[in-house]
Amino acid sequence: MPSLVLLYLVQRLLSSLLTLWVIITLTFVLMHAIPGDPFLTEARISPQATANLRAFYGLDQPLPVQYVRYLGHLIRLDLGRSMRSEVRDINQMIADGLPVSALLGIEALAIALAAGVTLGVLAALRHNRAVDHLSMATAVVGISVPSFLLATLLIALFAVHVPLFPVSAWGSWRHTVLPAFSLALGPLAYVARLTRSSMLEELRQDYVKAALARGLGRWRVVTTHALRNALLPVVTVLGPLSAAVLTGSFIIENIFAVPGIGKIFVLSISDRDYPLILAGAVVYSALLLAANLAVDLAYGLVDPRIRLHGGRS
Amino acid sequence: MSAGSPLPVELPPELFRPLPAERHAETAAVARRGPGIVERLRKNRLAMAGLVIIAGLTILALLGPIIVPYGYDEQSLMENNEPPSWRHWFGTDEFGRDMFARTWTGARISLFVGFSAALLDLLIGVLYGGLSGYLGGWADEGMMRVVDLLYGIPHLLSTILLMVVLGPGLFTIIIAMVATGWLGMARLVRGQVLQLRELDYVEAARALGFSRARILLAHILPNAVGPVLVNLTLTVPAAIFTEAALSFLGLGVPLPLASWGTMTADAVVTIFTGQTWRLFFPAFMISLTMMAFNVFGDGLRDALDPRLKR
Repeated sequence: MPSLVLLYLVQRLLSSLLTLWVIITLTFVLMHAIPGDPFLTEARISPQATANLRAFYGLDQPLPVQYVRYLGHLIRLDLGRSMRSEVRDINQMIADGLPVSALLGIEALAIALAAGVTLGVLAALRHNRAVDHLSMATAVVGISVPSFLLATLLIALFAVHVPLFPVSAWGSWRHTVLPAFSLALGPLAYVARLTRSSMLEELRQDYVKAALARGLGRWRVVTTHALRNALLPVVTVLGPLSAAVLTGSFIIENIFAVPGIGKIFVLSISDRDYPLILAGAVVYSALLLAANLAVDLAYGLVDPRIRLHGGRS
Repeated sequence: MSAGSPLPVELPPELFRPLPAERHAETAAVARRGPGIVERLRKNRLAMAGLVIIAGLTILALLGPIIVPYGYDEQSLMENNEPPSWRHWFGTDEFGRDMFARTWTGARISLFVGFSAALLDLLIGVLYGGLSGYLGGWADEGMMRVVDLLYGIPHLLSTILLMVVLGPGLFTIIIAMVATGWLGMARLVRGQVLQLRELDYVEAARALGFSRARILLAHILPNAVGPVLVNLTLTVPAAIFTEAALSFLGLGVPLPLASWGTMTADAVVTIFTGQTWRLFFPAFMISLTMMAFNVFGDGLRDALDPRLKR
């Protein structure tokens, strides 16, 4: 029923856009609720210059006019001008930073999924044996050690004491290893635990016994039958996982001085660069909503039951 | 088989009389099914270890700053950057402040932030979610639509934005975290209430003419305690993590206060300069606390899950 799928897609898209609008509005109101004037500095500027600056950023208009103008610009995908940065055009700043952040985020997610699923499956196959205990210990460590502490530890070990990787900055693939791994450990631990418990559940099912009874190889049953079903819960948490990687990049990009959008966003906060803060909130929320939407669609593709009944019990 | 035929087995009327008082212990034993939640939790060694660590950290947070003769903000520039010794158990920082006193004063701040944020999430979430689930209909629809809309905002993002607006401070951090933190709890409680209110005992309470408020507060919410408690246990470490993360972005508790997060962020530079004890103690405490709460929360969840009787 393609029309039903299409209807669902449109409905989800509309509700995502509504959420985005709420976020934009809330952030806009918040940013303008901050007391003080962004151009109030120690430097002596003539009243005329201040007035010109305010006019340039549209701050001389009443708030509702500013709000409508801002929305109008956003619809045309114009994020506005930065107040502090050398590069005034925020679109340009995002265009520079986004590929860097995307590479880092995708690398982190790939590490988390590959290693997490492997650990989880091994743990389930060797339930209550050494491998199981070891991978669950890894999971507990991964959940307990915050990403910024892991980052610090990794820098101390693999950049300062044993200089295998650069301490910070960006350039070759070697620059991506430590930040990507710092970002990945938390999600990795989560994926490992989830895969383990859902794999244990699947291995107990009758269809696995039936497949084994038919004489199929254990390896084949595990990889093609059980794993496919066991991965469904992992697909559902991809949304929250992307969120964790996205927001984790605020801190990790700062620690490793990675020139991505996380670094730009945090810098905008310490600079009190309001248009840039707003733009950061918009971009991050849009990315997250898009990720959630993509995960929902992926779930429909992976789980055959969804197409039959329109929902899982 | 005709209706008038005698029963195949004679059932003497004595069988249908209440048991005499001296045999009540027998019936009570039959009525009690399996080990209770507390018993199952007590058998989980990992969860118990978590609980012991939480208790130990709390006691040290209360007593730690008192048992050493140094204040957490007392500077002694002659003794700066000293490694751990008998005089200064955790060493000193760059201003010669005693790290033991600072670590446990920081524990007070971090645990206070964690517990207050979790408790406020609980309070708002239970009231909102409980009301929404109990009212049902269009009120529930509207209230949950609001929650769904706000739930789309990444938690750390909204917390950072609110910190920018509210300005630095111990209480502004808590408010900024709770502002979107209660949403998850509200969803959870609402789901529980929706399930519970269909059960027979609630129907019975309604038939007896109890008020809606009384049914919600005295009959429904107490039975939703399990999942709520698990959520609460897992919210505390999340809040401690968020506070520490904010410290790394320069949005932590303002001076002269110190939390584990701000102490760690200040000490990152020591991986190059060598006074790693300044980094180790607060960083280790953050990880230990997160681990303790997480394993305890997991154990609690397992103990409450009737399907997991192994």
